[in-house]
Amino acid sequence: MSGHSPTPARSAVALEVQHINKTFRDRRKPVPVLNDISLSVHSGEFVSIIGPSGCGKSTLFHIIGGLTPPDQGEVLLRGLPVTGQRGHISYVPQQPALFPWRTVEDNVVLARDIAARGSERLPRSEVQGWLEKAGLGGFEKAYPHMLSGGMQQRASFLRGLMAPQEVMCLDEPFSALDALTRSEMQRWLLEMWEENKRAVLMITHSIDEALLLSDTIYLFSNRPASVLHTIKVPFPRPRREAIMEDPEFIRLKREISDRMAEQQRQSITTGK
Amino acid sequence: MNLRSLWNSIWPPLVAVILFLMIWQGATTWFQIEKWILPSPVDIGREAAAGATGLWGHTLATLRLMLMGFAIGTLVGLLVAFTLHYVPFLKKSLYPLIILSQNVPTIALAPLLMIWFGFGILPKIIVITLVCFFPVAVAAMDGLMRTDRAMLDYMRMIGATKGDIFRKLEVPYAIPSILSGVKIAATYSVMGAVIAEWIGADKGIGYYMMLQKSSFRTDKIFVAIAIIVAISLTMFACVALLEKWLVRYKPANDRR
Repeated sequence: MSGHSPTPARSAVALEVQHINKTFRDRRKPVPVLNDISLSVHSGEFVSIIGPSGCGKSTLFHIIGGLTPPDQGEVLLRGLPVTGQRGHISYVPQQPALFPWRTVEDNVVLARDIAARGSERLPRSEVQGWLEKAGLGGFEKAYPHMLSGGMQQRASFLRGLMAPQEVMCLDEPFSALDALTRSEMQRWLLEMWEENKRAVLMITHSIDEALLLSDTIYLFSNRPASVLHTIKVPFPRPRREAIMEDPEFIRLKREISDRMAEQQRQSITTGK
Repeated sequence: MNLRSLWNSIWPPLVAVILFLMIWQGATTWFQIEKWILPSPVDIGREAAAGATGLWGHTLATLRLMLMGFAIGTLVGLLVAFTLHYVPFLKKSLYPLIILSQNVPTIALAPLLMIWFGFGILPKIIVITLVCFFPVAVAAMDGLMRTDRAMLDYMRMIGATKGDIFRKLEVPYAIPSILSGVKIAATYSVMGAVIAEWIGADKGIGYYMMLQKSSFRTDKIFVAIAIIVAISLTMFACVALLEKWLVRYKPANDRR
């Protein structure tokens, strides 16, 4: 149903970020933001980045998306350098950013249409099928303002999922939602992702969210961000929410939050 | 909007207009004002009914001229806005000049245009274009500039080209703003047409007004004014309807 090329061997590296450095200039004073960031996302792998707010994660996404050139380092897609090139990733932003003048069905095909350069349009029946899976059946002709926040974010995710690029970048996709909707969305995303197995790189603030969804978690430090720690999440797939009560889950959660708290303390003592 | 709320928004101004006309009528009889200074509404109505056939031709001529000028002016306005939006250097150098140019009264330019382009339709179209393009250009540029940052960022991240961003994001985003400029241009275009006809024409409402002025037919001038107001209102209503249709996606409570 997914309509993408058959999933390649699991070990293949879909996205690789190598030794990225980035420093911004603020009134001639250099502000280092990213410090030697390296990470990789295999095909069919769900990778999360957790870090303190304002640590430069969004800058990393802008570099991967080709909007901002890095000072040093490279972005590789399937081994090919794509640093500074746009259009190689699919993207789910923090705000749903649905276009208010497009109906839901016109919104979800936007990224796909742009990537396809208008060659062939997706048959409406297929769009319909996707919308139903996302729980948006019956809302094809609705405008975004008629949807709830959770539904808007689902439409936004679907828009990213329907785009042909292999790697999906999720920028804190649930941070604008209330707690209840958020956990519902996590469950939904888990199911959607396990069905489609795209390579995902997600930024999040929530440790629970990262542990529930990811195969690998990168822990980022304070500014300038560097990779503090890499955690392989051991739980088998398909996962259900019940793993959140697993002792191993709780142990990992504590480990991550301890490391984060340490970062917090450091940032206070160094006065940053 | 249902009929009841439509009625609720219409009756207060309607009552005000009727009251105004009654006072006017009363004043002209009470103070015995000469008809050539201020004719009463009833006189004007009578005159309009009597001269209706002759006026129709003039009205049509003005309508034709105005619609052509309005269409060209709006197109020029959009073209100017899109060009300046895409070439920042042009915007920096020309935008202040465009604003300055609005300080030159159109009525002062009209005689010059007549000298340069004769008494045909061209100078008149130019006059209307000059009054119409400005509100459209300013509103369109403003709308294009205000494009939502999150949406723009999204489009860039997924690799949309400049053309994609223009067609799929910036223009649709600017449409409500553009339409508010077009609304102003629509009413200006009537004024532009009448002024153009004052300066030199052999038909049209403006020409008719000049003719009546020379024979002190105040009542006929008032009829002409009433026609101009009616055309203006119709134009405004048409654009408002177009807006309602184009901006139908917006929630009802922030449509205004």
